Amino acid sequence: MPRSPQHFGPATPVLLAALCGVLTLLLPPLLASAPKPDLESTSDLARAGYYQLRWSLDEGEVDRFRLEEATADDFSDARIFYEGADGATVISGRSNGTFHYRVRARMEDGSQTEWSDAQRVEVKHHSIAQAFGIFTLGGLVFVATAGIIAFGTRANRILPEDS
Amino acid sequence: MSIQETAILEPGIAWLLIALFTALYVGLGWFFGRKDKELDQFVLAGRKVGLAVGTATAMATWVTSNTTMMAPQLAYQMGIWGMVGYSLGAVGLILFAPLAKRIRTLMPHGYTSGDFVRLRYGNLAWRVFLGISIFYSFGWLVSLGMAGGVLTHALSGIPYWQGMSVILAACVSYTLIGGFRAVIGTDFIQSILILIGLVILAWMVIGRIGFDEIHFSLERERPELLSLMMPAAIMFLFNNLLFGMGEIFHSNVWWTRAYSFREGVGLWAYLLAGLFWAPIPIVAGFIALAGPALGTNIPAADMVGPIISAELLGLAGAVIVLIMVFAALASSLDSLLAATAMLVVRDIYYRHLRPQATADHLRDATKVTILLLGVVTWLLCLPRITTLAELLHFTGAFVASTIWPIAAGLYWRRTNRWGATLAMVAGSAAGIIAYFQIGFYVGALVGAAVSMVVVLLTTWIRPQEFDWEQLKEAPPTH
Repeated sequence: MPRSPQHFGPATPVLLAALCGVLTLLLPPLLASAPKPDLESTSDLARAGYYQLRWSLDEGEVDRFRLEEATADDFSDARIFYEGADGATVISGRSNGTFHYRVRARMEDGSQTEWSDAQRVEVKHHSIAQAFGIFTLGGLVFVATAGIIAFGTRANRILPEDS
Repeated sequence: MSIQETAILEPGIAWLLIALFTALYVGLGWFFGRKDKELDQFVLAGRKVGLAVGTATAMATWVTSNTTMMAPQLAYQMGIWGMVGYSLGAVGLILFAPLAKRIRTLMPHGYTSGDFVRLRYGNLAWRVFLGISIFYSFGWLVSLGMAGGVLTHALSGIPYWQGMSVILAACVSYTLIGGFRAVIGTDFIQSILILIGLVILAWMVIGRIGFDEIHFSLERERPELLSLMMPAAIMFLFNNLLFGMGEIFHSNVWWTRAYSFREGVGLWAYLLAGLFWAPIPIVAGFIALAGPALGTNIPAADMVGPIISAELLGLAGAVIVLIMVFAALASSLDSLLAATAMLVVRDIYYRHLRPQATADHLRDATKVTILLLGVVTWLLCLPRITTLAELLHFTGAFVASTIWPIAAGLYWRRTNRWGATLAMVAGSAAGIIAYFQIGFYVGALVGAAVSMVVVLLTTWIRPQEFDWEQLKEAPPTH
């Protein structure tokens, strides 16, 4: 049977107030002693499908980091992307989409930190039309340059006095 | 904290290898350069370089640490088109072959690429060109210095700045001791080391990991690397080709070789070097594509080549990669130091500041400049501001804008000085805008395109009649 508030007795408000006071004093230092790694990406918008993630933890002796990747922003579909001592990774060859990352560190004493702030990276490739436009331009410049050299070499072979 | 905490090679072994090969290169530098007391011998090897050494020095210089480290980086970032695009850098060497012949014919007494621009287009174009060329030289020097640090860090965990400093110091030392003959002599040895190393690596990789496994992992984890329709990679193809052309067409590294080769050698030396070079980025790049199949973490894109080789092939692989990339790096760094020092001394110091300088004085000035270039490069390398590919391609917009002024200037009498100057300025500006607005993979292409349009329009609108004899400037009397 559930207990109603009056079952706690008259001393309860005093005890709760004392507990709040203790927590107010102790909680900030406790929170401060649970650091979390910094995580950053070279790009929030990757137009070529690649980007680098870097992370670090300034305090304590880190044994290994664990980097998770998810497509959902609540990390419900998270998977381990990297686990080890390195402080960065390069991700490449990704198709269009949005990816979320977070990292935490396992310390040498066996404890682990909180998750870092999540990092969001959107992969959005350039349009194919733009790509082929620039490709065609490059092809024209190349053919024209090769043409100058080929015709110039030929002309100078025919007209030796020109060289 | 270092981003790379796992390394294959013991730092002690890496230091030992670096010390051994530094001693070898410095010894060879002294041996090759011991008789070169005259200025022409020190800076152009007496203009008597033959076909075998000529081909080897052109190929070894173009197989830079960028080839062995950036080709894997670009394969890792841009996939199949990344490594194919990088191998198109060979086109620059092949197209320079007829240019080398024409340069040797038109300018039998030339020293630098700056000499050509000064005589062909006048002082304004010359100064713009010098700005571009020296800026590019520093970009390349810094990328090579950085590659030394990245290589040793990736393989052995040696801090970046230590590896970078020692490798840079080694290359400055033997270039300083031996001059240009030391540069091309060591290039010959280094090209042999690079080729043997690559053949062994390719053989070991094919033996240990299959194509199916690589394909399966890429398809699952990084599908765009296999895609022939990846937009950035499509744009990159001609960009890299034109970047390579811009590098070779304008840089004094290649012009000094054209001047130093015996008559008739330049055409064949550059043609053969281009053909030998083309497959190298494919082999080097392929190694990077094995990364996902191995599940190896790659902390920085420019570390992928050494890390995968070492991971795949263990200690032997790491040793081969260290020797091979050190050779590739040294073969380019020494050439670039020598050619840039020559450009600075002849085009800036001699032409602008001390026209009465004697040959002995210029020889000493060249040595001091090599040392100063080494120190400035070291300072610029320290912060490691970006990746190798992004740093080098930043210079792409500038150098690609020189392709048309150089090519048209060598073959067309009618291209005028204002057109050439405007082409370099407008091409560089447009390329840089594209670099920042679109990406590093279009800067050179846009720079070359704008420069081409400017040269064509100005040649058509305001043609001049240039007399080729003006290029046959009498050699300095000193």
